[in-house]
Amino acid sequence: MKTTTKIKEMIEGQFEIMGRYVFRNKYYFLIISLLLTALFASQIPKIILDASTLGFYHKDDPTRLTYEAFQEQFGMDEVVVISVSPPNIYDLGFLRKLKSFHEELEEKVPHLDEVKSLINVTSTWGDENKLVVEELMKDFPENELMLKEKIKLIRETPLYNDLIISANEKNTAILVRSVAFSQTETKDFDDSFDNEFDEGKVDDNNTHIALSNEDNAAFLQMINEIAEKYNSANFPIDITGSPAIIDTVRHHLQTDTPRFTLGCLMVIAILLLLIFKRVSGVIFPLFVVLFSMTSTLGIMAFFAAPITSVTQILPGFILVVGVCDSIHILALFYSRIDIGQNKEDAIAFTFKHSGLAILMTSLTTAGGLMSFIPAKMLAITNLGIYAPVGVIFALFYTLVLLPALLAVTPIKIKKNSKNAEKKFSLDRVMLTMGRVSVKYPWRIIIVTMVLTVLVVIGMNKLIFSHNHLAWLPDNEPVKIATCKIDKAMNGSITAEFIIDTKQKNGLYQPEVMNKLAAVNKMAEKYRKDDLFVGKSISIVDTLQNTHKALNENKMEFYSVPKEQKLIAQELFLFESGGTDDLERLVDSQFSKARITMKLPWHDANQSVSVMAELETKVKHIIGDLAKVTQTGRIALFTKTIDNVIQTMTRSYIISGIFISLMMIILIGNLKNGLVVMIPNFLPIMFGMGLMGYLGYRLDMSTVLCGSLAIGLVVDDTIHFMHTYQRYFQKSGDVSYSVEQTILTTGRALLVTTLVLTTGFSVYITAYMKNIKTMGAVCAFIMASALLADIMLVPAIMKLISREKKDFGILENKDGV
Amino acid sequence: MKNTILIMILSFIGLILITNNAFSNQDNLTAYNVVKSMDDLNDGDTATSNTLMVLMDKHKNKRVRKIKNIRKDYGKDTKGLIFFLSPADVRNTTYMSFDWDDEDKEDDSWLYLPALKKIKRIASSDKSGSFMGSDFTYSDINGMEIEDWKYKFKKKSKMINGFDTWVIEGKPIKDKKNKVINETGYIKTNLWIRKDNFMLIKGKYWVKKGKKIKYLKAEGIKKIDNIWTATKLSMITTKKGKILHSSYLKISNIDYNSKIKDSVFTTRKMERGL
Repeated sequence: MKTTTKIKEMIEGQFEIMGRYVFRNKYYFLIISLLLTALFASQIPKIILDASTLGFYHKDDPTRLTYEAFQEQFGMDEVVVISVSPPNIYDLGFLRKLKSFHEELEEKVPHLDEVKSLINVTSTWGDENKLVVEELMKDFPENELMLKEKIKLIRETPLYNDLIISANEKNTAILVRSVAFSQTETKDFDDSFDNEFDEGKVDDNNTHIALSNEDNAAFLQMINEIAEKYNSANFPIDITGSPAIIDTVRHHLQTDTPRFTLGCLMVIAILLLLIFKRVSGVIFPLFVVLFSMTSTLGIMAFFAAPITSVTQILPGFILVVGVCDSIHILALFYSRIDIGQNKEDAIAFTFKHSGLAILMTSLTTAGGLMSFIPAKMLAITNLGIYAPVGVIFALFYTLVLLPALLAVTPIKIKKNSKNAEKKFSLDRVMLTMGRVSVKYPWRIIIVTMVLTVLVVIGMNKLIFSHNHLAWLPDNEPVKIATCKIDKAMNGSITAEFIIDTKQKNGLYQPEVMNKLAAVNKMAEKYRKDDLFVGKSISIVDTLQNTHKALNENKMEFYSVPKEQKLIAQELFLFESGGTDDLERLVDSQFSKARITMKLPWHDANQSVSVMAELETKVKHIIGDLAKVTQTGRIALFTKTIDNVIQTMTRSYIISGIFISLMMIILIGNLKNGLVVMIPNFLPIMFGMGLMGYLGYRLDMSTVLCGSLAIGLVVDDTIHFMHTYQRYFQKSGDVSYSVEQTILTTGRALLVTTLVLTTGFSVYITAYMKNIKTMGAVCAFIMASALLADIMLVPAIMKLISREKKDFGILENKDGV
Repeated sequence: MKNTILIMILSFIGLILITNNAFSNQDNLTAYNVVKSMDDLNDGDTATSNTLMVLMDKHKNKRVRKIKNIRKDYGKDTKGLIFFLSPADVRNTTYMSFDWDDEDKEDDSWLYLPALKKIKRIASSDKSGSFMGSDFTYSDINGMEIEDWKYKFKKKSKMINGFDTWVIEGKPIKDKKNKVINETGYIKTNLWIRKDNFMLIKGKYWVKKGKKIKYLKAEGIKKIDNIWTATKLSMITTKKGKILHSSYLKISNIDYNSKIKDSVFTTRKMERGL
């Protein structure tokens, strides 16, 4: 103990020296801070925003490589589904309007790959003498007789059911597919023309740059604009599909997050003004936050680490850390100024008193978050790198910029607080709470235990979930459209499987085709709870349709031909018919086929088990004939969410262990260190319990807000314990030490909690439900953390500490 | 399928003999005259040839097909046969096409699938579709109706591989635009035509569907039986400067103006094979 105390005293002494040094060289440190921030700020224009699911993965991750290979082979898997539900689909006037709508989409939508609808879907049919392979409405029906023929074709083509037209013929879908990769003009062949043609010399100049958010937004915006133009009572349009849903969520996240972060900052500023009653008390913490954010983002830009949906938590995180660090300095500094100390002494005292605690909180938080670095997912690894970088920057600017700013700014002594011993009313409330805690430790422990039991019950109600649609309010058009289209067309999103026979023309084998037909049958019968596969499509549908067409369109021939040669010839015929449909279904070597399963929108968490089950079933059916790989955006997304939640949960456990070790080192006692971790874990458990009772779901954004919670909760406890120990080692009296801690650090803890709780409460008014949840839970956790430190820690200390003597401090209101 | 497949292949093969005196002063030619001269090149009354078709995807995976072509002109009408020699899976698959000059009369074509042992009449008005899964369309192979296009010189002289060429830009005539797009899929073309023999040696085609651009190159141009013939044809499909796929045709054993019996162009011949 004595050695630990000596070391602590030595470090505190160094902090005091540092405080004086910064004060005396204030301009030097101001310039250093400004230059450093300007340097990092210069990098910010290079920052990459990557909201794609692929952005979560390391570049060599097999999941990413498989998906990229899939997209390069078959194009974008997910489509925007536009459903039109007119009074009568088979009305010539309606079809004319549909054609016009289709053509305008083809003409105007940027980053477009293809539009498929009743207008251009491939029609393969035949009678005794004739075989036709062409776009369904290539010869647009101009009269009722022609229309009748088209209706007959539509009704005789099972492939169209629930894909282009609903079973009840009340809805028809237009499927709009964007290109998979960015298409910046990279080469004009006019000049290099002559070298490009020689056989085998075709350059592979295709690169994999996913469409940017702006590209996707432009793609969807134009679809919406055109749809708006055509939307009418007789031509009612609904739009869904995962690109539309994800873009809507992204749009609201991008507008909500900055708006509410700004709101949160403003509320924090107002509160700081009310509490400190000084402009410097508002501006300086915000400077620390701003400088830390700028520097962190600059570093990220320099190392080309993108802002993803995981790392976008960083501004909020740095806000919490920066504000907390600053408040701990300012609260003490102002109180010293108010009792008449000069600025240099006040800074030196503050540094001596709180410097080590701030260092320890920073190191603990940074170290805890570094447990994310070994994560498999790049986005989480980046959080593990750049969140600690942000913490260190916040520490740096708190210890360098803040005192320099204080040094160069005139700070007035507040008349109404000349007597530093005069505590403001909240101090009294906290003191009372501390006293009650020390006086009735067992009662506090029992109440805590009862609350913990209740919390555990609440935690059991928690549901792991990740559902973009659930984040949106119920009146959001895309949410309403998704429900309608899912009901009418049996689904709106797709899952993909790749069947690789590993041999050229392997798909010509009748066994393989039969297995593909069996997969379709299995899938279309599949149901788990309320989730089902509405449609399963692969090359076998095209084959069966062609076979039927070659056999006078008789439904009994909607089957797989028995001979390999016939399969090859029928597919050859289809390909020669002028359609490029096969490019979407098989590779050029006929060795790989794609199976697309259409499902209704559902929770990603539900997807995990469903996709796993479907994969097992597909593998079972295909057997040794081919390798089965699951891919596609939904599978990738599901896997990502599952990975993020699992990885982060695991990382939190590791960081919990790390923080416990740090706490043990700080306290210098194994038992006490471990016991003190209880008030650290409890607020987080309280937050989770509250979520359980309120029916909130544990999704990626709430799991991410755990990093904020850890930062704050641990900081509170470290600050409390650091000061408590200082007094306890001197006095050996728990009550005295608790009271002194509350009177010094307690005020800073209260201020940080008040400021951040109120700040995060601003998010409760957000548009997106997940942001509301995050705001509410963070605010609740922060309030609980203070309560735990003020009420539970003293009770625990009272029970586990060996006191030297009783100072009778509880009777001494002024606390000596 | 309103395809006239035989004619298609062979009209490409047989691009033509032109008398050097056809136009004594080339400077006075209009862009349309140049294209018309190219279109009017002699391709023989009959032709037979073998074609090696190589289709390449963006990963450079190849598919190779061997074809035997037979064509015979009947005045302005043309009959043609295509026998697939390989790969084994499609061997003896046969297409037959009758291309009628009369625009009101729909072209006829038939397909014989040996595994099905059936002949089917094929009906498709989509000439803008891919020809046999290649980058060539039926309209590339069959030739376009030049009267539907408006041509202008883009460059009066451009050296390509040592040959002086005209560079001519073609756009559909306003009131024929829909017809042209329907038949060819193109909204614009650039043609590089050799001045010495009116052979098309390079082409750039803007495709409406998918906003793709295709590039054509004709090589191995030589006189066979006194008929200018391109023996190597390549077509690359690109989008935003990136190659999507490419096709390469190598034509050999070309024989013009041999006697071909009318009985060749019958469904019985399709069934019997070569």
